[in-house]
Amino acid sequence: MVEQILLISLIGSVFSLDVTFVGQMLLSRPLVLLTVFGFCFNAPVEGFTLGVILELICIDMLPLGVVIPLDAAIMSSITAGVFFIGVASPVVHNKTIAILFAFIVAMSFHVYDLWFKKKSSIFFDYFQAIYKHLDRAVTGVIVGNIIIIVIRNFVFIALSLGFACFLRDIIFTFLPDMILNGFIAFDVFLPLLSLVIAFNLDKFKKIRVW
Amino acid sequence: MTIYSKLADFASLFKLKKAWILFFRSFFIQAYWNREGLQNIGFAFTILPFLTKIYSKNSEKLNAAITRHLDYFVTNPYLVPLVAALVIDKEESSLTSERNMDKEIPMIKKYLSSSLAAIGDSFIWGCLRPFNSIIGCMLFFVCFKNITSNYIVLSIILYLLLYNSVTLNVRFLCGAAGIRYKEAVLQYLKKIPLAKIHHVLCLIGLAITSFLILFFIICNVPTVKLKLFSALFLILFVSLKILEQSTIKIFISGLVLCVILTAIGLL
Repeated sequence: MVEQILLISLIGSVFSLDVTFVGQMLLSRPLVLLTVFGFCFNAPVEGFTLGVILELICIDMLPLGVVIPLDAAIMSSITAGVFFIGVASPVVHNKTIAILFAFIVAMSFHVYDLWFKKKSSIFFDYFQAIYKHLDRAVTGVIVGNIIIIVIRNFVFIALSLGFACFLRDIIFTFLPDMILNGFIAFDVFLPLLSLVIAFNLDKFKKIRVW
Repeated sequence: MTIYSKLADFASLFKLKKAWILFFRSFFIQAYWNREGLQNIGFAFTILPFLTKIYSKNSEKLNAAITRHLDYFVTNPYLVPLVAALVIDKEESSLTSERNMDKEIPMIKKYLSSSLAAIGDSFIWGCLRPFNSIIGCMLFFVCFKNITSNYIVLSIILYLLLYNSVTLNVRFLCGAAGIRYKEAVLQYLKKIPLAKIHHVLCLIGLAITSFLILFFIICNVPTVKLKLFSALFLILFVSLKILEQSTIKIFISGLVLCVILTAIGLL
């Protein structure tokens, strides 16, 4: 289980650079990242299914202007971890629980990320103090920030996944069967929800952050 | 100009070394996204090699030039090379010109960045990316019962190729055209019918999602009972979306309804 958490954290933290910091080539999107996780866990169809559902659910979370949407890479990593890791019973392969955890963790990460971005200006002051020439300070802070972001996301995903998997196991142990059956039944309607969100974006052109 | 000379002129854009430098550096425009200046450090990093070359003999002027580009800056990341190319042109002409560029360059940056942000955000983020998501996910719904690794790989390749073929070209050509044609490139931008393309892509996306919703309920949901409940949930989700509820609220509402229906034995 620890190796699986570290693997997901490593892949998730590297791909999460593509969300904002480097590239924006859609490599961090759920469709790609969850498919990658699916191949890693020898379940490409389940990974792709999760990826499609989450991709369309997040279709209207767009970075327009200065809006910062929920981090898609964090959501994908938590979804994959809760769905694939440490699963003993086939009942535990529940997409609804995985996506619910993804939303909760992504919202927590969003609050933390806003605080981090507010405080991160001290990095440039630090590099300016080290390097007398601004050109080296600019290059240094860019490289340094990329490394810090990968480490930050790695630690966040690893800790969140560990906690999420622990909480998931408690939920499946103590949740009454009738509620658990409801969660399992909702898996059928998740693709429909994702299509409705995509339909709404094209029909009404209204963006809802989250 | 004949079509061959136009094609030759277009192909020669790919030989501009400056354009390639701008292209690769622009990938890091948001590498130090911060609340005070947003993309300011990333922009300074993008044009750094050119500033170093322009002010190579005077480190004080180089520092002053970099400081000039550390003020507030934000635009669409794919259109940054265009702003960078025009700013570099102004920096180069500042050596020979007697005009004070300390005010002129920030003003050019401000007006260019805000207008390009509006164009880029509405077309690339608001239209191309959602359309691309629908195309990438389409094969899943069509081949729902028979998905194999080949279909999965095909979907991912289509998804990445469709989006990146547009954005990578936009990123490179904006910089190259800005270097070659300077301010005249802005006249070419006005001629592109982005609003019409946006409208057409939205209509196609709408048609595809409508078809996929019906196809999913009719062909992929296994039993008649589940098809009826799928229609019920569809009405619920669409109603909540019309009432402008957030995604998480719709998710929770659907989940609660599902739990209730399962608990009373209907589902």
